[in-house]
Amino acid sequence: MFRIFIRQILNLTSSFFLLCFFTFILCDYFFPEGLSFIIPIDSFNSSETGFLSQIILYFSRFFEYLSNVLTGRLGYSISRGISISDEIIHYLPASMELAFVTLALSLTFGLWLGTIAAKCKDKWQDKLILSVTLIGYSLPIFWWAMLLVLFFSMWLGITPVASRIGFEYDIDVVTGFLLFDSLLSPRYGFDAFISVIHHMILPVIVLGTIPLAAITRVTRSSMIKTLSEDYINNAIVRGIPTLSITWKHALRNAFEPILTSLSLQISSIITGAIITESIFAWPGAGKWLLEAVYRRDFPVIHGGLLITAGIVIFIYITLDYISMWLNPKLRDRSS
Amino acid sequence: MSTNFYIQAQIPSVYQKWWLDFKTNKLALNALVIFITILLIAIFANIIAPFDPTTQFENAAHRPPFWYNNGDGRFLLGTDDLGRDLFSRLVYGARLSLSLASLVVIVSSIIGISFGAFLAFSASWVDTPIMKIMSFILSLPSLLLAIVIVAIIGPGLPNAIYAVMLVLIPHFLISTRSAIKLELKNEYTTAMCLDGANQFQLLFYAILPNILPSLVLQMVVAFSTAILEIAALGFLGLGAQAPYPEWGTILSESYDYLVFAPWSVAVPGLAIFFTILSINLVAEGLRDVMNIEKHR
Repeated sequence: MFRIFIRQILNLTSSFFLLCFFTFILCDYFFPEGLSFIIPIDSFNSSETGFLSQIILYFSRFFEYLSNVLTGRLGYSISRGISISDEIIHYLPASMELAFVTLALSLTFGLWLGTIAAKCKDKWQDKLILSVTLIGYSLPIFWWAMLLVLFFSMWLGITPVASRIGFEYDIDVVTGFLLFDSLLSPRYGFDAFISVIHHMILPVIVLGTIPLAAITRVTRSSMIKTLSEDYINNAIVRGIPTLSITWKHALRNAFEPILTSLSLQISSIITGAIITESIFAWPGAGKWLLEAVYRRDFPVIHGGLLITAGIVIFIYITLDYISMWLNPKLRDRSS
Repeated sequence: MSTNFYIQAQIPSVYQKWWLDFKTNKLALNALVIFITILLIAIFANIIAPFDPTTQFENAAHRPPFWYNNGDGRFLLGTDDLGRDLFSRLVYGARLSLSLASLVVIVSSIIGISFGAFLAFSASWVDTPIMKIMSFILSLPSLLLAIVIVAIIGPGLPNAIYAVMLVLIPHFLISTRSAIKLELKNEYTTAMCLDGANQFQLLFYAILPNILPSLVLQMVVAFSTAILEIAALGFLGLGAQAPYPEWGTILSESYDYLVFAPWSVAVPGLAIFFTILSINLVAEGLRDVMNIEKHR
């Protein structure tokens, strides 16, 4: 297991190195003058013209870029003049809060609904869950968001349409996660927390629909396969309670495809977060990145791409490690 | 009257068998019918649409659809904020979305499949780095990548198309490569090699027919991804620009009038939703028929 850990660390490092090289080439090719936000401008001018010295220059610039990126010096936003790393620290927690809540809820409900569907295979519950998830899987989430806003906010008037918390609350930033910050600030008691939850309902539903549908379907098919195994029959014969069989015996063995689909859903959540945040005016990294695209604020786009892709790669490799930890069969594949 | 004395069991070919199996799945069959209808609407858009999608009718802005009391019979699904007929815009939007999505799928699948086949056959040193890069691109969220590409080369419909193509290529490449690698391990390919087939013969006569189902399925799935992605880029204002009748763009234009004219939001979204749903149902049916394992 330790060897695998080392291997995954190496994998992470090489992927991140590749990511930096990728962004460097993109920046260098499309807007070389724009790279000056990271590398000092004088390292661009060189009097030497030889091929080899050009390559050496190129790589020395890359390593300068890499060292700046790794120490968090990502330059300054063109339109606002704020350091990119400060902006990331400011905007990222909002997105992460949304993503974590969505992921946790969709995983919980997905496992639950998928298991129900698998246990009632071909009964009406199964058919209902299957058709609802198929519809959920096909929803264009920007339209879904509008429909929910129209129905719950405009017609029923029970949910807010924008931002993370009611404007009457002034919460001190401690962690950046308003769910914790609102509990930590003693001024408003529990009201601020309720307001945070209230603002979160619609974005979480919008963002969670596709992951929930996908996880439910994977859980269902994987559980159907597992529940028909001999050891499950054996467990039934031994008189083990059904709940314990489904949740302890079957789900653990059915978990591997779910984990694989989870890692796919991470990127769908990030994709969806960009759209969701822009519709619900959620002050997170996705909206920040999108506004930077509108303003063609290249340092921000660069920083946003780097941090988002870095997070995705990190999650992928961690999930890969977890699945190898769960299933020893995966460990000795050559990579 | 000639009767056939030799009662021959009609053995259906593989494709016939798929069709026979597919027909038993009523849901998928209905979805196919809906999809073909949408496709026909897209093809004959200029006949079906009563007006030009960009014609503005003065004094007719924000007309509700015909089932409202104050609806106008001329405008079947109402008009938008500039007095353009929503039904015509949607019909032309179907043409735009479906043709662009099929262009994207065809180009990216040709590039992806040919490169994937090349990589699978040439066990050269380029294999590892290209696969590393491709799986790296695959791991990035697709819309994020498309947004970044559009951000670099500038917003607009052609650039959005390039972005979606670039995003879809790695999917085709990786799956083709791994599918061919798996087939190459089988005995029938070895037998064909021993018969003296060269690599092209091996690819076109032995391997491609065997991996065709999964490739077709992937193209169907990629088609719905492409429609959604183009619509999402259009919605975010990075894809098709204002006068184009593109579904995502129509939605983002009507979002400003959500309270005032809810139908102008509901109807374009329904068009996208039904297209995607029918494609997904067809893909589901194909997956069952072709015995491809669910959820890769």
